[in-house]
Amino acid sequence: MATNLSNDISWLLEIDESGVDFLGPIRHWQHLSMAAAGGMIWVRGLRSDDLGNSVLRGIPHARVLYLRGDHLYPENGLVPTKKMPPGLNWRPLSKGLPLGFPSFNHNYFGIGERLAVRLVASTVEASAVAVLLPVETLRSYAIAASAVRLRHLRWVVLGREALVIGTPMLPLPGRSFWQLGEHLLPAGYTFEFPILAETIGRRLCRQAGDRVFWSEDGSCLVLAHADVVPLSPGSIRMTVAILPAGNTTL
Amino acid sequence: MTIPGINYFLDTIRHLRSHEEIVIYDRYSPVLSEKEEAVADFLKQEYANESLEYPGEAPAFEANSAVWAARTVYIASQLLLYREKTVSGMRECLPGFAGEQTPGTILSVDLCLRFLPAVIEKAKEISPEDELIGVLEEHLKAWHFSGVGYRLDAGALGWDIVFSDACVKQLYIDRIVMRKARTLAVLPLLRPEVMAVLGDWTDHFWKELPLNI
Repeated sequence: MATNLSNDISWLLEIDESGVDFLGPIRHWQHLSMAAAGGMIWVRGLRSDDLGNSVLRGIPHARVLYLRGDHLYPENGLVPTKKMPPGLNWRPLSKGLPLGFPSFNHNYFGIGERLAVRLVASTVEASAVAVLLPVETLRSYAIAASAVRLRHLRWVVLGREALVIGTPMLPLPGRSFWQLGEHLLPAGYTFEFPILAETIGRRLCRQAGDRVFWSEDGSCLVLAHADVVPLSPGSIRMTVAILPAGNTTL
Repeated sequence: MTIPGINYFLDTIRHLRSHEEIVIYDRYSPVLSEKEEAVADFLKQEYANESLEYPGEAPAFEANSAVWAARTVYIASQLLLYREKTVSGMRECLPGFAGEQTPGTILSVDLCLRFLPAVIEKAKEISPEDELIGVLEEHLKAWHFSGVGYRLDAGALGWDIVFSDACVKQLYIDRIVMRKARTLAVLPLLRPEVMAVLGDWTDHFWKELPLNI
């Protein structure tokens, strides 16, 4: 008696080899097995009630076929599209799709790494709060200036130059600095990673009120609060009197 | 009764300069002229310290005027409590300065006379009709650098000597701004100077000073 071919069909899923990872959602379906040949992957063992499953239908780039005899037919087609290659090595999905670690570990924090602090040019506008200028320029202005313009300012000598901190600033030319937390940064520059400003400040400053003075090259100097004194004619006169001539070291 | 070895005058002035307060007793201790020399030396040192903070070149210290101011404040504060003198006696106790007013004397006098407004305020608290107030206000009018901020009749004050010296003038303007003496700042003579000091920062330093008066 001849075999009724219409009863002898089995359902398959076909997907390109490049899309093998899309089979992940059905990897745990134990009744399935898979085989690969010619850049294609076939999954067999599908039951007819699996065909309506949204998980199966949700697999992108996958096509459902049925096998009758040796020929593969599209799901709703009557004309075969290809022949099933013979001698395939059918394996369970859990074997055919081995597990591995993802290439990027989201839980890796790199605690042991170190970071060089660098300053980069910035276009964010900020008002200047400090100015670095030659001591002599400051002296000639400040000893004759009105106390009103000086008493809210503080200053410190850095080598041959004086750093005057406070606003309103003096009407004197010099390199200006802006403030980010306890940092005095050159105008036009900011940290490469501004989010670290608070942490850097906490590591560098010994007590509240200390400031960190930065150069464009990324070097810095911690200014203790007690070293930055109120600006007044008397303070200038006494400081200039004890400044060594030709002092260039910071 | 004054014990010879102790110089109350010097101690009081030194305490005044370092703590800005005077302790008075119900007893009148007059200023003996031989005690004044020590006070002059002390005030000279104080003037040297203070002139470091003066803008530009400070004028020279004038010992006579400084001691006169110290004596005036010393006696005036004693008279707050001690009242066995008549009004005329009070005037004798507080004579005006005999010498001439110069930029140097203005600053020397200010060492102690800057506390005189406080003494007057205290006298007013005790009795607003006290004769002492009038006597002291006369001194303050003559030396109005020390009285900046105290309510004086601005029309009766002279400015020639103040304006003759750049240092005194600068200090005067600074004091007007710091004490926010508006009656002085609006005078036609002083207003340009005050505005020069404030520059573009009038709103920042003295917001209440209106721009168009």
